[in-house]
Amino acid sequence: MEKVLLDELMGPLNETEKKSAPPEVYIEGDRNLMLDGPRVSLIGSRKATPEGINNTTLLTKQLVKKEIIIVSGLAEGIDTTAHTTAIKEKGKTIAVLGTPLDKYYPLQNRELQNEIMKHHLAISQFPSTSSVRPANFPIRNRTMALISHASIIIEAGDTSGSLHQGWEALRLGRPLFILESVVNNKKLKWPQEMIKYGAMVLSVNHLKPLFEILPASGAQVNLDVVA
Amino acid sequence: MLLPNLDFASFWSYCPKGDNEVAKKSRDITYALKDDRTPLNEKVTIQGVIVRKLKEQIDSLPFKDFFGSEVYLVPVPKSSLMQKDTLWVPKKLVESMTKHNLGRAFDCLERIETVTKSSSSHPKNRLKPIDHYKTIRVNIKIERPENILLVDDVLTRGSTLLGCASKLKEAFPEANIRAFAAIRTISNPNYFEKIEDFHIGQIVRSPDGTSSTT
Repeated sequence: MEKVLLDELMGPLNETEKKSAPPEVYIEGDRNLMLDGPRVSLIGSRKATPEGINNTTLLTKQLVKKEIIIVSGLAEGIDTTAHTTAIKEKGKTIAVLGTPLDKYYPLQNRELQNEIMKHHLAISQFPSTSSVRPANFPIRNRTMALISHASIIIEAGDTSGSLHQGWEALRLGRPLFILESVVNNKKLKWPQEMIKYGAMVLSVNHLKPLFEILPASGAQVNLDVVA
Repeated sequence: MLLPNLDFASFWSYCPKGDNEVAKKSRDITYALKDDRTPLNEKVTIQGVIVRKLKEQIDSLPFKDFFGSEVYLVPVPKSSLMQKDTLWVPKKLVESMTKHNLGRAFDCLERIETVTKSSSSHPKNRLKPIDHYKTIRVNIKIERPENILLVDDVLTRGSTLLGCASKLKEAFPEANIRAFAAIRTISNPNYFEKIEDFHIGQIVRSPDGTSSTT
């Protein structure tokens, strides 16, 4: 486990990012993943529906084919599906934990967490001395928004923790997509509210709007070749 | 009432398609501008670098007369409403330009209703200048600016700029209004050659109500 400044992982933070960024994070795994390719967060409910799981699998497969790094929160449901599909498809994945790196939550993801720490990358802003607290998870969600070039909400109820990440992505000026199936669910109030603030609608069968918006690389931009 | 056209200048170009290295680099630079990232070997974010280069080269640029200490620089609103503390790159560009004495900040436009983002619109549903005109408000009318320069980060078809300029013209009928975009989009990879691309053109309203650039 290594303690690093976020600037070391993703280049200097801007003023908007500094307002909610953790001063430092703990990492384990391949830190070069932060430079390799664009990073996209897949986020959604722990109590995922079969449609949500299916959409996560479809999305992850298409993103991995484009060498996009899958970011998620190592929780049950959507997160677990995103990480495991990325690994199965021989892609790369980053887990942003709501617990310290030496704790496992949920316990059944112990093996998955160890695999990610060994061959991919795990990030946590919580030191090993800190306890597992529910309040840490929305804080973790904001950090996930911060390290991702774009975020996609796959499914979430009106009180879901995933919404914290959505609002933070919008504040940071990062592309935020909501799956069409969620937007069409008239029982939910939050999708229309987020669309008012800049969220975009995405269909799992048409990812061009996402691909066009992403940078080609995850590395800090070099202006030497501009002229 | 909508203006039929608007003169604009742009500093760099980017191509959203194409697999050659320059096109890819242009996409990374555009993402970095929109995300307010700091490039390698620089101490300021990319908007600050662009403004510094603009200032350094201003005397040799074909659009030198767009700028000046008496020019009112108006940041173009985002296409959606904004939460508190939201990143707004055109505002940052205007602040940097003001610091470099390229004009004076005049933050007078506000988005009062969200319009669907043009980057995700199907061509037949493409946003028109009128969509922006109807959802923008001029908040400050006490100044009497002679020259106004609308400032945006990325220009694609110009509907936002033409909608904003039309609104400004109503509030300030005597003002000479033009626009500046840090980066201009060249959609066709066959026409895209390089990133540094000093350009003067016009945003033109078409008979079907959409807009395009020359």
